[in-house]
Amino acid sequence: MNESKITIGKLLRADNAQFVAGCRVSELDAPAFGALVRVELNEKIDVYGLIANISIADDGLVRQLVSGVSLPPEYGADNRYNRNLPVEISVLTVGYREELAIYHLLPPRPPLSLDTIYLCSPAELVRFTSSGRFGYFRHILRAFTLPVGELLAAHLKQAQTAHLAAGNAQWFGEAARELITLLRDDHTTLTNVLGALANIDPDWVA
Amino acid sequence: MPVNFVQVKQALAAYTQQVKTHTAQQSSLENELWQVFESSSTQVVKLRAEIRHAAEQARRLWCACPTDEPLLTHRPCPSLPPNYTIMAADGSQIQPSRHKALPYCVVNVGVITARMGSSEAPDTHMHSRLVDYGELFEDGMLVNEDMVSLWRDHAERLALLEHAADLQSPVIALTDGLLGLYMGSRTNQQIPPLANEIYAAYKALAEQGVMCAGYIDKPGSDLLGRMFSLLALPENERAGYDSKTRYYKGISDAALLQNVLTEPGERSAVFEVISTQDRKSENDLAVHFFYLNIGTKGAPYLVKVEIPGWMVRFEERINLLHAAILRETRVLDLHPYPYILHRAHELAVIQLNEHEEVERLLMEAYSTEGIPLGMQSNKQANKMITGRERPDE
Repeated sequence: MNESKITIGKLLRADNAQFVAGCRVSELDAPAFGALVRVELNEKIDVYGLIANISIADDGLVRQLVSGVSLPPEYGADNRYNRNLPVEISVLTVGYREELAIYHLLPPRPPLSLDTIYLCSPAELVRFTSSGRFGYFRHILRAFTLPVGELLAAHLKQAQTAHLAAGNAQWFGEAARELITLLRDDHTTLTNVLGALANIDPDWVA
Repeated sequence: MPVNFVQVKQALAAYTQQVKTHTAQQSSLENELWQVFESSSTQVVKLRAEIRHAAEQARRLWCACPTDEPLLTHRPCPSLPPNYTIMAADGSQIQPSRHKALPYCVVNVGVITARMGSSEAPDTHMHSRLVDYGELFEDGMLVNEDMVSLWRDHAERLALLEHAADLQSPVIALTDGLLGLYMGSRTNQQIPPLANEIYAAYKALAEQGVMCAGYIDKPGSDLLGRMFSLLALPENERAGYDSKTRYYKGISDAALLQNVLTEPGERSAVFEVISTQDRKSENDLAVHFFYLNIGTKGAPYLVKVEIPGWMVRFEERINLLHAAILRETRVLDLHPYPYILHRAHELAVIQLNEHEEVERLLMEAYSTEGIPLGMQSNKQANKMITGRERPDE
């Protein structure tokens, strides 16, 4: 699976359900909240995840600069691009690929420190989200510490764009109906998710 | 064992009384020096002539000497041009220690160059030197801290020279601490050639028009007091001047000039450093200095800036340096200090884990080559057990 080779960072820490990557601010153009990313465990297995949070670290110098009276633009750029303050990208694991098969299950093992994290191409996004019957939604819905509605909305918006470009106009409606089914007993989360979906496609919710 | 706080507490009353007595004496002496300083403000030509004459006769002399500016000069901060280049170099080192399993020394220098007005991120560079094994010993013993400091100073200046080439002028090059070399306790035979190389680097930088400056935070020197101590002697006794018996002892230049630099951003007059030990003092590299108030209204904080003599001829360069350093200190205005120097230090500092990694690399190399490792001292081993200390502490 070498279609996309846009590097977004290197792995800092991981377990089976999630992992955290670090990158420099100068590399921050590619990753976006809700984007599907991939880590190669080995030649046969890729782990997939959704970017669930992006955090910017600080330190004593940054805190002092924030409160300073005068910050020349050159020194703002110095802190962003030269200093060793990585951006942390938290990724929620949503499945893996083994050979040609895609599973919406947790991978056999987490990726390792310093593994490279790649951004998935639209074709990979279509392939992952078309596989099975939205099994990966359950990983998102049980992530109680995350803003589930926002994460789903961000992911569905990107996936919808990719599916429309691939000629599949039905995907978004099917995904939304699956979410309603999964959340039929959780009114609070359903309301949040529907609210977020309405921001993507008001016509569909209406 | 912890400190015996009872004993410390019992000594506090006498201690604070000593502080009061000493402060009162110093305050009186400071007032006296201030009267002389103030009344001599415009007599700079006479003062200069007397000091130069004494310098020719005295066996050992280290003091200030006025330039053309009156002693009470206090210049407000000039305007800063939109475009200029400022760079800084700072170094750190792993000190060789007989307590370690193997002797080695690493000198690390960080250099940062900012093109102000460009909005671009500065360039940063690192230079790490594993000092040649043969240089680690003098008379069969490991070199001392003074020698390592000289290696670090040398590496800083060479790094500035390397990275100053082709920069868009005007260029300011900052280092932390004295611009001149402190030769006091150094007796190593290697010093003269190394010192010559440092002076050669300064000379080359001067030829490129690079404005070198040494920034001294919380300066404690008393060169003005030493100057007036010398002048307080009758003329026929000045040849035998001994700084150990000087009259105005312990009054720092900063304390004196705090009376002059009352407004934030002001700089003092430029003074020359007269040093009978510094054989370069007659040329363009003779160290000069001025003080700068980087504090705020009602809370002055004076720092010292050392510059080479050639810069004194160009007022616009002094103005640029004055304004640029002040701007630098205002970036970190909670604890004012030049941002560019802080970053150079941040680049240079050797963290404990890096220190350990260098040692591991060396041990691997020794092992590969079949060189037997020594043993760390028992003292060092016990220190490492009780806390995560730097191996050379």
